[in-house]
Amino acid sequence: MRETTYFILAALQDGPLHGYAIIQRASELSTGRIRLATGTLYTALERLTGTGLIRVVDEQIVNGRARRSYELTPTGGAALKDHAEQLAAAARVVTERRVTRTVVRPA
Amino acid sequence: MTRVERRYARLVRLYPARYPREEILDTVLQVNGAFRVREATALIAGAMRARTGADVQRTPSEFAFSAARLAALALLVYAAAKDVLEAVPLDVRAVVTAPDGLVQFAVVSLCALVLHLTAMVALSRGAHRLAAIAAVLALPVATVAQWRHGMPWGADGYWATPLAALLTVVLLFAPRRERSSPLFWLLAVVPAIVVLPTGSGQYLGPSWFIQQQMLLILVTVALLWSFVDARVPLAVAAVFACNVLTGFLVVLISGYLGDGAILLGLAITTLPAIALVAAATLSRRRSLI
Repeated sequence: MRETTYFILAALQDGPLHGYAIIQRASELSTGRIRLATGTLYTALERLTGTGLIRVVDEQIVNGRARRSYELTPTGGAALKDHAEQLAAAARVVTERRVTRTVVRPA
Repeated sequence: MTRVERRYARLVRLYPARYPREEILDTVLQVNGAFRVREATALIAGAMRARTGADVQRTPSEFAFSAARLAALALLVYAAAKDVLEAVPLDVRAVVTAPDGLVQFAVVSLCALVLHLTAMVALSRGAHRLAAIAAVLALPVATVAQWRHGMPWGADGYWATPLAALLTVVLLFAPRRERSSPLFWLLAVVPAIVVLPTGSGQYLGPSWFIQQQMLLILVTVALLWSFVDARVPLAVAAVFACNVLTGFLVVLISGYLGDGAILLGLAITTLPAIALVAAATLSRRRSLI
């Protein structure tokens, strides 16, 4: 899973959001590292909807334009959790490293 | 509608109708008060991905099969362009002066053309079995047609037929059948006669010049297109691989290396293919989503 995809899914873990809110939330969660362009976001949303990781949950008309909200599916939630555990395990390799030194004594 | 809104709306209209165009416009206007190049580029790239099918999530094996399909279609266009050139009596002087054989070779080329076009239409419609049968049958037919000039494997564009046949056979194992309109590929045959190295320069004088310039443009466009779709540079690389194979075989069979100029020529022929494969690999690895 790419980092961008990870943060899009992570943005949806607290509930459904529409496009602009996903961009904002992904930026917050990544402390500003992920700045999604709208074109990139909608390509990702189309892919994630196609693979069943997210789904459209609501559609409202705001300022005369349709605005849909997306939410994580159970599959998407599980995929996000799996990936987060992989990242955590990878992080532990560094953060919980035990320093072992072999002392070589002169004969 | 403001000026900024109008400019973004024009870009959003590039997306296919199945995309939520209004919602994309709404989002882009919420994010940006002004027109930004970064957003505009992302919208164009997104629309191109959606139009070309590059937006579909693919596993590495699905990607490989999809790229093989595009490469096979590009090679079939190349092979068909070569057939048109051989089937149509463009070389009037040769027709007049040739004692015999020329008409027979033209008829064989016409058969190869029918088989290549059948394979092309079948493959684009997702009929992989028919495509493989037609492409494999075209192999001996195109080889006989090329014998008109002597050694077939040394002729410009000959290798498009065996490579296309190989890829269509590989595609029989594809788990998913992709479908698209055959019209684009059929129309592409006409410019391919002059643009690709088909040997058309022998009959159509300006072709030598056009081909040199167009090949350079083709490589540049394919390299740029790798940002949108990594399959396209691979398909163009397959076309270049035909020239590389022709060059290497001519050197191998003739055993003549010259004073280094031939090796340099081969290296120059190989370079675009390597660059295109490298661009496709990078694009796939550095994809944002």
